[in-house]
Amino acid sequence: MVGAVMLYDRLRWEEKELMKAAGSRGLELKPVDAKPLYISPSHELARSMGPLALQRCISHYRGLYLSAVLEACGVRVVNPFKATHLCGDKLLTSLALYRAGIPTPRFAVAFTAEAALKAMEGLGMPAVLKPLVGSHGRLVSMVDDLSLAKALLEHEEALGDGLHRIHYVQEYVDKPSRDLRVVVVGGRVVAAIYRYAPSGEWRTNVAMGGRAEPCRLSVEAEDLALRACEALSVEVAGVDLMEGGRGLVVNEVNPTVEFKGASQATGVDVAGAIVEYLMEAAKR
Amino acid sequence: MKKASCPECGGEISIPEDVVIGEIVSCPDCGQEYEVYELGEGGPKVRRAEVAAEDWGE
Repeated sequence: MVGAVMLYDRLRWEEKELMKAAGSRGLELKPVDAKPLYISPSHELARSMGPLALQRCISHYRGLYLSAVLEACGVRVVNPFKATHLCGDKLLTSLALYRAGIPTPRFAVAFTAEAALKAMEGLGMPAVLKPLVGSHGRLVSMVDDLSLAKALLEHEEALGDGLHRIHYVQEYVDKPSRDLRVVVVGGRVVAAIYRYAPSGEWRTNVAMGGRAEPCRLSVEAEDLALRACEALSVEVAGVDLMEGGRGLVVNEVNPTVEFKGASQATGVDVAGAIVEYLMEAAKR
Repeated sequence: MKKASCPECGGEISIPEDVVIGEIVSCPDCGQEYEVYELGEGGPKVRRAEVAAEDWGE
């Protein structure tokens, strides 16, 4: 069955699993490397890509703009451009969650370093400074001291990129040394894990050495994860929940979910679930 | 196991038999990462893999 293309720029464990899962289910999932592509929207492009594309680029912007071009010529992209756009930006994610009434950590955006310091004081210390775009916990800083915050903000502004002068500040959620990663595929939770922060680290990202353990989700957690996906128009995602003093909150939603930790900790064939979802999508 | 020569240091890079185009391999001597971009009769061809960028993630 001719099914879909898989857009990638770095073949991770996940992409290889997706190809294996497609092969064993009879779905032709053609890998397309985004790096050498130069494309304009056209009927030829739509024909060469086919009706359905799975977006798996590790580079957020590469994936985002590639999805934009493909959608302009009628290719259905999973996840859609809108989802990648919203989920890829921490402020836009927080705003979409806020609008949908989904509990999320308190946050503020500030447009100068001075204003960001005030925002942190307003949210209370420690506070968390995050780049608007980025993943794997990179450059995410917990700050409990205003002079350190000032230095971090100066460094951030010195990077020169306009996005680094938009400061996203989040309340620090005092949680156990773990968070929850919920993998959602097509409106269904397929796997959930606790991610434990490695020793000497407060960030729980598996990419930072965090440890994964299976998690039995409460009805409330499942409902939150599914509502978050709906609010962000995302079909395949890794939803991060934190257990704070005020209950569960949705922290981030990852549209190109890395599911190695979740698959290995739970034994769930996440790649298979994604491929089966694509096969259903291909019929529609 | 297939082999390729490291363009950086000349070290011998082992490449799995079931390698697929796009797979990342690294040189055991210098640590440089490479991406397999062609599987021809002359053996797999590799080029330097992209390094992690700020917008990389999930």
